[in-house]
Amino acid sequence: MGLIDCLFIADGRNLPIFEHIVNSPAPTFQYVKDRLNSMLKGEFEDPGSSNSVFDHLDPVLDIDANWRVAWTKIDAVYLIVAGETFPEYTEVVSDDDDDDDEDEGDDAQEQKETVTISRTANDLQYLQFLADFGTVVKSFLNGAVLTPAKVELNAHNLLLILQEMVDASFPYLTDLNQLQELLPSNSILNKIISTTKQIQGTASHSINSLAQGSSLLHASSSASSLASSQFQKGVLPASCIFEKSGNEIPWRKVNVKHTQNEMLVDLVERISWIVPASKSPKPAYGASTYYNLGLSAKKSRPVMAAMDGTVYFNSSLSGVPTVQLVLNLNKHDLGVPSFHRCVDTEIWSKSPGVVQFIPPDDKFMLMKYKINLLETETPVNVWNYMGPVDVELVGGLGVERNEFEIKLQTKLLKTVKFIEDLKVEILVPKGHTVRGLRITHGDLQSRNGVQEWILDKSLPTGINCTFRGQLLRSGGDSSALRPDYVTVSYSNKGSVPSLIKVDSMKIISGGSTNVKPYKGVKYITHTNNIMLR
Amino acid sequence: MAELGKNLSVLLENATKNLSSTVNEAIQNKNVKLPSGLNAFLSNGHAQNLELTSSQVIEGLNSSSDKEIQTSLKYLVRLMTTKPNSEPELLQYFPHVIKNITSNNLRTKRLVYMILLRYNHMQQDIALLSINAIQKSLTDKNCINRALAIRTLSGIRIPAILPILVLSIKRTISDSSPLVRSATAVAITKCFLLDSGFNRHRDVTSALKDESSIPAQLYNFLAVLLSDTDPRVLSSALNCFYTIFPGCMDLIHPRFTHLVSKLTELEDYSKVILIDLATDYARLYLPKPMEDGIAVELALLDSKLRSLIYSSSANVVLSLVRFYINVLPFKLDEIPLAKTLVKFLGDDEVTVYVLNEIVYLLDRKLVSFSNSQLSYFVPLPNELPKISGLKVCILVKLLSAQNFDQIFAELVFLLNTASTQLKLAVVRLLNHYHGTPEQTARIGQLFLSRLDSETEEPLVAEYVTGLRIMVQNDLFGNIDVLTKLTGKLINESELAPVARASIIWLVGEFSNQQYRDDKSLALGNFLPDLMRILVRGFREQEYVVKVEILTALTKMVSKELYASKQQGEEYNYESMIWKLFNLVLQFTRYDSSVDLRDRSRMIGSILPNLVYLDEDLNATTAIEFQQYYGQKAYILERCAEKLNEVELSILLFQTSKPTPVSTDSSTNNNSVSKYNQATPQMLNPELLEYYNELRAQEFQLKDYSQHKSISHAEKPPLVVNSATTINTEPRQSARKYKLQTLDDFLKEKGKTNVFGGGGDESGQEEEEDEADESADADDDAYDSESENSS
Repeated sequence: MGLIDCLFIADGRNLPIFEHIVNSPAPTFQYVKDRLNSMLKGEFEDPGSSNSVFDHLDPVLDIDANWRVAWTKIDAVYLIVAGETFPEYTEVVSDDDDDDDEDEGDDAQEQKETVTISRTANDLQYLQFLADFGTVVKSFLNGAVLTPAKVELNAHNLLLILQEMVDASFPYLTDLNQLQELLPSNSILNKIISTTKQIQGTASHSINSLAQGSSLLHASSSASSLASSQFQKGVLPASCIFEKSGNEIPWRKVNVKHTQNEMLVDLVERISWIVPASKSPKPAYGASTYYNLGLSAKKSRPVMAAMDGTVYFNSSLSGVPTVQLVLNLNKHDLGVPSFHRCVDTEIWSKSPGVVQFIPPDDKFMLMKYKINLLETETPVNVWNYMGPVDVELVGGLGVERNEFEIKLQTKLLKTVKFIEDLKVEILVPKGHTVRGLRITHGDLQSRNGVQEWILDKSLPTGINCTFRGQLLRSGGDSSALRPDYVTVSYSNKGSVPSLIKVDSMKIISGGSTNVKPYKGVKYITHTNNIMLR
Repeated sequence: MAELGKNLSVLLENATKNLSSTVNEAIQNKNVKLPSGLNAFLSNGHAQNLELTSSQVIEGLNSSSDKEIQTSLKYLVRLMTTKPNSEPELLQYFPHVIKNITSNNLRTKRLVYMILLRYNHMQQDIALLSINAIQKSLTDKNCINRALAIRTLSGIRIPAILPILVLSIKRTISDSSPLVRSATAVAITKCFLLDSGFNRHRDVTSALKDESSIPAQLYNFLAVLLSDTDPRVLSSALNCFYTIFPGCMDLIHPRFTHLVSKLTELEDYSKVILIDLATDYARLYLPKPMEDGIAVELALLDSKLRSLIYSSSANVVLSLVRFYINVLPFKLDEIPLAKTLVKFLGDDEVTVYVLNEIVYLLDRKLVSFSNSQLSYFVPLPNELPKISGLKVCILVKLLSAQNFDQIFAELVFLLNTASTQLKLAVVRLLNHYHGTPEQTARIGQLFLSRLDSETEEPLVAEYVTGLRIMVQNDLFGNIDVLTKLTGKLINESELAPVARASIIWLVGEFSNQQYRDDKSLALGNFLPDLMRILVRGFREQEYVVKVEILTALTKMVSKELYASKQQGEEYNYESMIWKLFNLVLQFTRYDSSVDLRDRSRMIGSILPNLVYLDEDLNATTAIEFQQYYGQKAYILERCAEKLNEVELSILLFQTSKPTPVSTDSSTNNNSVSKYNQATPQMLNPELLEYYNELRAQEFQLKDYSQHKSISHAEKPPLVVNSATTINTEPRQSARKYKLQTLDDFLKEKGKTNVFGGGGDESGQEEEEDEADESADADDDAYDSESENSS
């Protein structure tokens, strides 16, 4: 009885590849699948259109009077949990009925008997668990893509993870850093990495001490590497987060020591832009716009101009350091960001941009934010924050006004050297194809009915690219229509579109005082959806 | 030099990467020839690839090497989790597996526990042999081992272990490690379920009254855990409360403030449980909050919840919103609700729920979005169709005079490029939208223009439905629309039946009106011809179309009949409408559809007609009206008699129809609205005093942190004033504990009939243990006293 009574993993053809029963009785996979199939038939005429039974179903649903099923897709596999549902309301029981019988009489008692409290489960509890489990599994498998083969190969690891993550039908211990301490991974890769890290640490340490003119070679044995070698022998760590009560930072390992102290920040943003069609320029007969490479200065206001940002923090710091990370928000409104539990949110709400925290050892997601450029109160030139690639789609060109042009301009930025994997997907009305007339860079490719203008793997900044083309009907004759829309995707390192920067990053208390940690910041841009209409 | 150091480390880092990728390759591609040494090294980590024979498994399990044991265990676990119907095979190894339960290797132990938990009830006698070893682990030096042991012990589904389990819980409940106490909460849940599994018909309420019953004991244990100060323990204790004692508010009353004060430190899942519980609690047991004053408990809860808007878990935020809308609706403005919700919008399943929540809040006017926030709800081409659907729904809900152009442009774009499913959703939503006449006109124009080029049948039907609603709402304002629609009836043979039927119905309605202007007069004059064309293809039409043709003709003919009666003239039986009416009655009288025949007969009995008045007419009779009247004039007389009843027909067919009521697409019984429903009851003010007393009850706060050895932890401030804090000296985990083990027990009872009639004995033992226990407790008391004095 509870949230999660069993967990299944199925492949894309609805075949079970892993099952774990948390609490019996639990439904079998076959039963769950049959129920889902029958529900699907009720809703859709054609259940055969998709390979998996799940794709058309709600992520959380009651399959019968007793069981609720939740599922999610991770890479190539489906995670499914089923749990027995509770009644919506429960009566309040009270053991002091006897007292009431004597004096207050029937009135009060009747009142009591009818009191009920609701017990409806929050559906997102299931999804949260599935997401947590997915994150943990991927982290334990070193970020590998989950495939049926991978799941089967690591079945015992998954089981060990589940042993800690869920018990008594309820999520038990789901924090990644805590799990890493309870379940040290002893995969071969980790061994090699930890060993080489150790060598690397020793080497750099000796170089440092040489630099300081000290001839003494510290025989530094880092506690963490010692601990990891102990795990391989199945020996338990000497101290553990949970040894004693009163640990206020249960996400950080106890007695962390590193020979090389460093803290690294990854600032990643995903762009979501929608730009409406530019007004087509008056066609000047004879003069081709082909030579006019610049983008028109007049632009219509974007329909959507937003960024999703994530800050990852990766540290190896000794002791219990309180880190202060100051972001230059560039006057952006970050709304209500989400923080890792280690962050002091009060400090942020008083002075936005200052993130103060005691980090878990190793990598974790520090914060997530959303910037909606259209929502800012002070008027800003949103085009400054569009990222390093400027794009424009113009239709109705050429003598017959049946040509269109896509212009790309990679902005010159000091910190950005290359734009990676730049490509433009051209979405056309039904029954049409694209014919490229003039292409300055890259080439037009057609795959599975999707037409893409693909540019160099890494394109230098500060150049203009143009694609001039027209649409063809299935017969082969040209059409006066223009593409429905085009989407642009790329990634780049060295800047984020919001131009948010890390102003400073320092240890303000705790940690070892004499060691200055190595600091590094990485800015990465991805595209979620850049759409031109 | 520092540069050099950095470079070197980068170099080594690269080397690491390269090596790991080489190894990766090697693992994935077994054909790569590796040095034999490295191969052996690698195979160690990936021995689970191998299929083991039965003798190999047994050999491995009985080996003295941890590695070999683990290889076999991993193989078995893989069988257990990935191969259905592996049960018989695994059971055959069960004794060999259990043998390894005493291993000092944690990994081995974990794997053995997993197999034990899965199959213990199938080989009970062997499973019971492991109890002793698990009990020993309860006193292990390491807290991970102790926690694992109590969770495993409680997972064994053999009721005979219940006494041992209860005693074990009793000792781990005061363990110094929060992990073990948290595991104890899990064990309480499982112990309760095991116990009630074998007492199915027992009423928990009455069981709780008997102090010696297992539920009552567990209840008291849980009370202890709910008084803990460690958030890890509280989290598990709350889960336990939610699962097995959900109605026992007596556990909560005295601890309510204590629990709330720890809210932000709990695990996310338990935060949700506590917030949900507090929502109902506030309604039932706290005075109704007013804008000028709220209970202290609520103020504390409110302040704790404020910081949770920064949570990265959507479940916590939804739970928070549920609290505010049910308990403190007037404080909703104080939290940045819109921004807190939109931060979860992405392309995953969680987004579906957050969007549903937004729909729920919009319907109740609890949240508002500015025009600059509309872009959050613009559907994207690469997201789940469900998400796009909900976004469109929200956009239409947000439509206002200021943003109409903006949203309308977005919807037009979707109608041009989106999937059919989404287009349908857009049109349906627009059909239910009540806008100004200008807005409606623009929507109408859009629909009419789309009708021509649209090839998808369901979409056409939706467009026409929308236009129908429009015309029905304001006929003379939209007469052009109707004219164009009737044109489509004739010109477009591909029109979907639903669309066709809708237009014909509309024509019928129109014919009922008094024509006021030239346009409507012209259209009215055209109607007989239109009907003639429609009747010509009557037999080929779908049922819905046939019904509407019959209905429309009935309306027209009754209008004519009534008009002639009003003016006292004789009805013109040569009228086109009359002829068509009779023809269609004849068709429908012999139609294959029962419903259609029924309708036909009904109409035939009300209105004058030839088909039902003349018994000689049959399905194949072709009526030549001129000739017919000559032959059967008496039929016309009957018709004239029938004319007296024409008022009834007018009543039936010419009443003004109400415009369609928009059926809201956001169904109100989806899971979000169900979830947002708190208990319907409210506090009985007479009992408030009583509840205040309950809340003021003292309880023993369990604070173990005084004895911490962790250097970096600071003292937590004491928040609960009403409670007396007892700094419990954690029981020395390694202390000798004299619990008779199962092995001893088995020795005494002899080898056969292990558990039959053992009740007396175990009861006795329990008493002995109880005595031990109280002695221990005395020791404890002494210890803590000396602690205090020192």
